[in-house]
Amino acid sequence: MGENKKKIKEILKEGSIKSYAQVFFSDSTAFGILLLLVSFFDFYAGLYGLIAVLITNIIALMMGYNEFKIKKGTYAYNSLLVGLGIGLSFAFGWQSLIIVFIAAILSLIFTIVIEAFLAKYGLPFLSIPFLLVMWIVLLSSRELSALGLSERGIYNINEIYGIGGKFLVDIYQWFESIDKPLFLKTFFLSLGAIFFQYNILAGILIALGLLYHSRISFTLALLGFATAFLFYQLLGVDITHYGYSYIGFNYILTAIAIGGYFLIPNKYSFLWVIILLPIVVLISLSAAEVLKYYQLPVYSLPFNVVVLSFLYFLKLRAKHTLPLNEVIIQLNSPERNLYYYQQAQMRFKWLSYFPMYLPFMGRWRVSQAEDGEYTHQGEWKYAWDFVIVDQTGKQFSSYGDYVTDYYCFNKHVVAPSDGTVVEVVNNIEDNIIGDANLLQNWGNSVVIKHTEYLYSQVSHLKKGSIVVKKGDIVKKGDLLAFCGNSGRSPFPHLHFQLQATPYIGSKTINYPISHYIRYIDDKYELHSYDKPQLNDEVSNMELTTLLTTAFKFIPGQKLRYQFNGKKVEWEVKTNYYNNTYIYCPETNSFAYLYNDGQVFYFMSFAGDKTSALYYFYLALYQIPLGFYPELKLMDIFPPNAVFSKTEMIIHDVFAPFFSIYEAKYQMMFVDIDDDLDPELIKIQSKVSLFRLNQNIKTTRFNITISSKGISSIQSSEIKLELI
Amino acid sequence: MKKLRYERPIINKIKAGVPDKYGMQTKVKIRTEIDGVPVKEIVEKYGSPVFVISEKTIRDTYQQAYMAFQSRYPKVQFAWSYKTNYLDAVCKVYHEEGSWAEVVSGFEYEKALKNGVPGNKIIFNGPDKTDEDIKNAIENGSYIHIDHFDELYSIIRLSNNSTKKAKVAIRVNMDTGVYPKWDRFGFNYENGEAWSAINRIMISENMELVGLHTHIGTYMMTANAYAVAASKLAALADRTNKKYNHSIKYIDMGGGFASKNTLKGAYLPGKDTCPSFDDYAEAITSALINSDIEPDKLPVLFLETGRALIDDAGYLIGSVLANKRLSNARRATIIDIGVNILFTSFWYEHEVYPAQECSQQTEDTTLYGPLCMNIDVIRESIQFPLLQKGDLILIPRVGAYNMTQWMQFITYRPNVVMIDKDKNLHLIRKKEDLLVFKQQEIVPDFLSDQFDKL
Repeated sequence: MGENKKKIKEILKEGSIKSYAQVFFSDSTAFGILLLLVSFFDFYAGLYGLIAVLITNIIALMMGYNEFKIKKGTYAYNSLLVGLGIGLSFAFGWQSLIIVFIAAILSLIFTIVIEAFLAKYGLPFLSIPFLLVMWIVLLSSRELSALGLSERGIYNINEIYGIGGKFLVDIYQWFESIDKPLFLKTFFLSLGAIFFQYNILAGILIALGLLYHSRISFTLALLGFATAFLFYQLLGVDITHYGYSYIGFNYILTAIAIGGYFLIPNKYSFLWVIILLPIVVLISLSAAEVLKYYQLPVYSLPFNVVVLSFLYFLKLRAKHTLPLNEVIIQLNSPERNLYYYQQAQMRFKWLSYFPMYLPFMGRWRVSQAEDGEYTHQGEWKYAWDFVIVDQTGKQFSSYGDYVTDYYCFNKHVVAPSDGTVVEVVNNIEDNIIGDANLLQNWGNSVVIKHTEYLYSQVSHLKKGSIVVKKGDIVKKGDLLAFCGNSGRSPFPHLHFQLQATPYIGSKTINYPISHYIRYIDDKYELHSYDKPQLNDEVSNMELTTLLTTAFKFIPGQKLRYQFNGKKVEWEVKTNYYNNTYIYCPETNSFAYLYNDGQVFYFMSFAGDKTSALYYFYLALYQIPLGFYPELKLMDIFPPNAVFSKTEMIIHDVFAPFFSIYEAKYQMMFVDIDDDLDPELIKIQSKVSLFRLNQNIKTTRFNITISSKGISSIQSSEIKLELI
Repeated sequence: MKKLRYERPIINKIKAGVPDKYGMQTKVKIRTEIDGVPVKEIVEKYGSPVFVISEKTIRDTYQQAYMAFQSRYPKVQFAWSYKTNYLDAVCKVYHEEGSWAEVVSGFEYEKALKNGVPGNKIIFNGPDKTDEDIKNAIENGSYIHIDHFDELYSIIRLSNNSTKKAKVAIRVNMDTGVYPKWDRFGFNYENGEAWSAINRIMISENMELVGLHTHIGTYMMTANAYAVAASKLAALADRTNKKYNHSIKYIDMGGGFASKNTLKGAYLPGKDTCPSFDDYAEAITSALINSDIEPDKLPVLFLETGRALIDDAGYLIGSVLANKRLSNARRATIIDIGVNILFTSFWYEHEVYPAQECSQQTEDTTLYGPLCMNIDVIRESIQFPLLQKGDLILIPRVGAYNMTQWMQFITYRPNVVMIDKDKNLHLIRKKEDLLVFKQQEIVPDFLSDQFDKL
């Protein structure tokens, strides 16, 4: 029971603080606390705001809404704004307290309902609940005579004196007396206005908080506001007019939302901010015209209208031609979203793909790749043809007059991944060389269903050679048939394509091969989530048992290492989201890992960057589980995982456009003691840090893998040995 | 004008055989060059007889065999069978192509090490391994293929004194449906000896069972026998995995693939009847892939093919010593190639070609070797043109076993020459001379200086 109470208290505390930060799309506790304090510049507004937040979170918790979302402040930020608004608009008293109470509950209801409604369209609910509730309260208040209208906000100094005495008043007056450029002044006023604090000091504090939370958000806030400011100048409207600057925050929030929060920040998202802001201005001005008949303020209406419309507008695109990418997993910070996205582009493509391998054994050559010159065109362009060639590059022995002369003829065709056989054609004659059967152009084929909307097809198989039948369940690598020369096939080859429908000859889909080895003379290259190109010689990767065993981390497993002479002990754990990580209790560090059976990855690291686990993470960032002599591999670290916080501040500012700091990973298989039954594999890895493409530091790791596991990692600075 | 060749007169009965669709072949095939190098030039430089090895043929044949298997099976490794031809130059070509070494004696083992093959890329076969051989093999991490229980006990005894685990495989013999059954090597499959040997090894501390080996026979004319053998070995591997959770790293199918030579008594020529590499590969790999072993755990497939890889690359050039008429009026030609250097003529009907322009008239001829022995016959009966003393002849497909099983008898063993890819000639084994024998022989003091006493 005590445990439960503690948990509830924790959720309430964290959820309430984060509700404040959520107004700026942030989940930072520090930023939340700062905003909470700022909201108390107007004591009663602050108080009402806090009350509204608490009421909302308590009721949401009692009613059994998602604790995770409550904890993130998702449900209460609209109530907070409503509370602040009421606090500022009405005099303090039990009547207005009751209104806050009711308004908070209404905000929660609207939040939940509107969230569910908009979720169908994949859209956020932004501050629509606030807008509706606030208007309802304002409209109804005219009938509610008991509610006294507040005079606060007019006699600023009195209020400040009430909070902080003469000292605060002095500061305030000193501040007001400083000659500030018009732009900055209105900017800060607008920022303050988000929290119904129409003063510059609040604005400055919020600006600092925003800068602390996110450099990109801060840049966007300035950009958005500047655009609107210039547009006002252009239209000849005086932005400093009270009514206008009270809606100035619309420009700031729209800029952050479009520029970096709902879209991955880059030059295109920034460009759209510049295009959209004048629209926001127009909507603000026009909305004010309409609403003034009802004596209603515009509040955040323009922001909501523009952001929602634009996001939905983007979703309806048929093709993603410009790199305007919606954030799929929201990490509540433009920086984090950006770095995660860059990682996902570079590394975690597999998150969205069902593993797919090559449908043959041994080494084959691509004789026609995607967009091939013969048949891989139009709707069938995402396909590959494979043949076998000898050392001299010939596809056949003797003169190639007979199908049996061709190396690939009658060779095993295997299942590219697990699935169920859904279509088999097995009775089409193999052509003589040079002929092509244009009537039954796919020839003998097998189609396998892997998951919904993912089918693979192999074609031109040898007549009568298919060993599976409809309905058979096959595993990756199971024999399907033998390569032949049936259908539109003038010489024996294997056609392989992926498609979304179960029919032979369905149109193809753009889908990569999970991992394969490409041979270049005597060298090997590992390609992950890539596509074989014309004339590439490729094969599936053969795994090395020593490596698969060493990199198999089982939850509950304890790892004991000697780190520079000191003993460390880690544990392998799995979390709520089924992510596996290595945890170091001593330094409270986490290294998230992923092993797709072919390649081992470290996904991310959190914790102490001097710990042994951190070096473990750096050295073993990506390791293929099949040994190929001198196989090299490159990867890229997210900059925030490697560089210090101060370095990252500068990096963040420019991150949407270019990277100041870069960290590259490189690994190479160096040595194996025995090809057949190895007991020792040596790997070298290298972490190189770059500033503006200048190498500033390189750390080399020598890694030894033995039958006991990852037995040692050494660099010039550290020594990690398995106990 | 060049002087015309003298052609002695003959009287031939007209024997019109049954013509096939190409009509009757009457033209005598002659072969005047090897890989573009004139036979005459080789003899001028290196004398007659002389063995010639074609580097190009070695590499081409190896690639052909490798392709046949590699395109059907993910993990294939060849091991060069030293006993088939252990001339260092030949071995090195195979090692360059990626072959390991398969040896059957301490001598071959030493040779392989000397050729730069790392210990862990040598397979040690054969029934005769001394304690010293076994110790070396354990220390070097070579793969010891155990032939019998006495060897197994020796390895247990010797590996107890070693810090290293002995890496072993067992040789298994079995009924593959062919005659004769080779059951003298290894442990029998059907009577359970093989399984019993596996159990002994698995419970032993100092041995690691890495592979399973079989060698079902030699000059196998049917690929199906290999399919039977492969599936039996796969069954053993699977059983071992189920009982001990120990995956067998490799399955070694030995050798025994037939070359294109024609066996004595065969009705049709070898090149028409012998299975191709593709046939063997198809049989073996299909058996393994269709076995109960999971696709991810398929063992490496080892092949110790010797004969089929090297036979075509070897040529023997000789010359005519004399012609005579036998008592039954049959023509006999004596050549300087005897069974001492062409050992395989005991079981092959070797093709013999004239190596210069010659008459198109042929006679039923017996080809005798130069030895002063009745058994020295190269061909009992061959339709052969009329050659004269000094004329050159060429015998192809002699690469396997001849250069290892040859005898120093009556005369010296000849030069062996390699033609490289760029048609250059290299002497790879010198003709023996008296010095070679003097070096080996020791005359006791009391027998020396006999002639001085006279």
